[in-house]
Amino acid sequence: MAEALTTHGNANAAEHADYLDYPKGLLSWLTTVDHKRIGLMYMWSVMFFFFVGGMFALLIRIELLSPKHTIMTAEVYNRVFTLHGAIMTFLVIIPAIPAALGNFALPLLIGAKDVAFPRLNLTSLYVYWAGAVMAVVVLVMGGVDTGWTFYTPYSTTTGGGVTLMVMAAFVLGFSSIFTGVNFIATIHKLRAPGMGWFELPLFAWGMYSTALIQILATPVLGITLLLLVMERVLGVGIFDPQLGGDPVLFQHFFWFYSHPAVYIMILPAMAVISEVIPTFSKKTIFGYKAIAFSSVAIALLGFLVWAHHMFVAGMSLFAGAIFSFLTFFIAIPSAIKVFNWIATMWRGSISLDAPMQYAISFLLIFTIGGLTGLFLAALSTDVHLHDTYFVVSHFHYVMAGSNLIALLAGIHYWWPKMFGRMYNETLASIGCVLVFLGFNATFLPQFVLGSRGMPRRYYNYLPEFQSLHVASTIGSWLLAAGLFLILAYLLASLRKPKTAVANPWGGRTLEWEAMSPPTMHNFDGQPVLKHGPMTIAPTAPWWAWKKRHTERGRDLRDVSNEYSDTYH
Amino acid sequence: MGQQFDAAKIGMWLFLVTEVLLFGGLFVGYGIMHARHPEAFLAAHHHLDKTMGAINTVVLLISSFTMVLAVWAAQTSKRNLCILFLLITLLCAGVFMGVKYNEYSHKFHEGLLPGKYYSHQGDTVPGQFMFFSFYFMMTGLHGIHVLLGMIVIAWILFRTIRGDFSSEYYSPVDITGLYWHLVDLIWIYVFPLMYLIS
Amino acid sequence: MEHTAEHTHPVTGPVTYAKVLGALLVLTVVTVYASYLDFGSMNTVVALLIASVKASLVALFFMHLRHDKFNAVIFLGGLLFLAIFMIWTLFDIGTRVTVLPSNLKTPVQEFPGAPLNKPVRPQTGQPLGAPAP
Repeated sequence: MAEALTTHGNANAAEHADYLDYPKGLLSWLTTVDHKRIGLMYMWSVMFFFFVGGMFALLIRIELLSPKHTIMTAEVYNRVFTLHGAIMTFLVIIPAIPAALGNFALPLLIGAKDVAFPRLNLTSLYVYWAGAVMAVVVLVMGGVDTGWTFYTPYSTTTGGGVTLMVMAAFVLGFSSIFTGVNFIATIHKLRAPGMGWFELPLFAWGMYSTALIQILATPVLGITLLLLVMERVLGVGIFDPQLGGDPVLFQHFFWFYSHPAVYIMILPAMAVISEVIPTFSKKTIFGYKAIAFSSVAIALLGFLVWAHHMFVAGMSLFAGAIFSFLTFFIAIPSAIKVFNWIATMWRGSISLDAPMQYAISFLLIFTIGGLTGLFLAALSTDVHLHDTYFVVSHFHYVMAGSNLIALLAGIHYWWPKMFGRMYNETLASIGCVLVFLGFNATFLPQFVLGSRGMPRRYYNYLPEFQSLHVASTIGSWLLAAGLFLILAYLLASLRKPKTAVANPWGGRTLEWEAMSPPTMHNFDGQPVLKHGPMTIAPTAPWWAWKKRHTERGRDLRDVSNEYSDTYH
Repeated sequence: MGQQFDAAKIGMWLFLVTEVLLFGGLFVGYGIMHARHPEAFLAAHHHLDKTMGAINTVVLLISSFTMVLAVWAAQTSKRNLCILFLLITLLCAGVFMGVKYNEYSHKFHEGLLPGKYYSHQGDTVPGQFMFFSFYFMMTGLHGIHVLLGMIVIAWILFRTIRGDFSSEYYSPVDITGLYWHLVDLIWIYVFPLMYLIS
Repeated sequence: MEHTAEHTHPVTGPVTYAKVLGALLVLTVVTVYASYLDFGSMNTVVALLIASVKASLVALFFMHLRHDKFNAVIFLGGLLFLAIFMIWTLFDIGTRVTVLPSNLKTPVQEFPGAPLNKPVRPQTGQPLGAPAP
């Protein structure tokens, strides 16, 4: 299908150097304010820490091959799972899609030259690196053994580098806030002329909702972590029951951020999927407004449900019942999205290119993750399942599985745009299958383990759990093999010449109008959202088109045919 | 230019929202601990000097007033007035920090310190360390914001003297003003919560 | 589209600002005065009400929110979420002891930290029962 499409992007290549080549030199990258370069640097950093966090995950799984000592002591095990959680959460998943893909793609998608505050964007990257360095220092110093949630009173009494790790998370929060501020201002102010709110690509809606959470929730994490540091350094007493404080209050503070943060992880994933599925189904997205509003609804509802993490923490039962009730509401906008994606694929002419394979994997994994969430939302069930492997598996399906696979979908989708090169598509299919099978092999057994009572974070376990633990560990090797394969063919593709066309997938959003890879200023002149026939038509969502063209009192069928002629 | 101005302003307001939530968390903690230990908080607050607190409130309000006048002067291209008002703002901020320093050294001297460093003798009501934990965290975090504000205002002052701003372009003055007013706004709440418990 | 008010509305002059400053100073005196009066449990509420009036004056006039609807929405949104945080957390803490399962047989021991204002060591603030540091 690629050859049928225009190559006008490359026709201009001689005149305008692409952003990867010009200006040259390491210094030009480190001082760049180009959103694409910043996005790429974020992407490589995230990949690096994903590798580090992934290594810890493999160590955990190897240790759990047998009860008691396998390769490490219990103390080391505590540190390893804490570092796995903290690195994966704060350094990988939260910045993965918004900061890496979002920075790269958002301005292109809305037809802008850059984000609203390019220098703030670069600052955000440096702040991220500063936080990352602090985390690495903690790692070298011997790590932390509190778990990534830093629950008091353990975190205020244990030794090790807790203070520095907490400060690292605090610093990383700033990086997240800067990205959020930037995206909101960008979407408000820098949309291409003619692009109304409901002609925004759905990716932008997802990024906007994410940014709302980043701005509203992250500062509370900041103050929580500051209070924790103060508690450790000064003994201020707020979280220490011995001094008249309240340790459950810490959990309120922590989850007011960290529950919405789960939506910082999943909303961008949904945003990527909302771009990939219509492109590869050759259809306009079904239920545009429903998907857009459900993103915002998830973002806002996410602030009302945080205490479902605390049902057994000694919280008021009355409050617990209400939080449980509210938590079920999250399922509604999530399900709306899934149904709309499926409706988009229905009767579409689906082409199973690599990004679409990942998108379909996402649908399956997210559905499992979402539905198991309902078990945990129910107050009575949660009392039994709380802090078991059921929870571990649930949040890996949502945070790791869905987010990671959507990240891979996005990387495969925009890779030709990022680097002007195509990866080996056969290997991409093998990689996708390996990741999907490996992921499920790792985490499906954990649902069973959890429902049978295997508690999370335990070093030792009863012998009857061993077979499922072994299955899970073998799954983790399959997953790792898939991820290494993906890394290998992606890196190998960078050695090829830049031959990718401007629009390899037949995408209809504005980024496909730019060259592959784009020039420094993205577009030749300011792209305008047009509704007439174009070689590469930027999408006007069907219902927006309908609204514009039925005002003159025409037959809806004519309008529909005209729309199809224009875009298909 | 209007586009850029608006974007900068939106960015600043979003940042102010994060500041509100940052301090808000501290206020929530304060409120809950106050409700748990009412006697201790009431007894402890008598160690604070209401006069000092009131002076600082007035000084900060005046500095907010001169800051808004500086924005107005920049808006109407009155460069010399703008310089004057920024200088007064900076001066007020300096007075605020001076009073704060005075109060802090007094507290340090008496052993009215946060958490485990609390060593004041002769308390009749126990648990007063908690009040001073919050006193130092809240006024300390606020003080850091005042200091940062002073640095930014000094930079804006320098740029005004250099002649960067006019009625066409005064966005940095404007958004610095917004930040400074927020610092004032937070103090408006800190003052009664810390100094005027009854 | 959201916000062009800055350019269309007249510039607010120093006289208005001076009036606002006057009001703020008067309210400061009022709040200090009110702290000497006894409103019973309403003391904090009164203090916070006065503070909120002052804060509104600063936000509306000094921060120009009365001409700036769009940013006012942003700011109020932030306050709304702060309120959600505050109310939900207080809701848990306020109902923690009073609501118990109806079939509860033995009385639930209060959380060890709950009996507040226990006697403490004056030097350290540690409870008397705890071992000396």
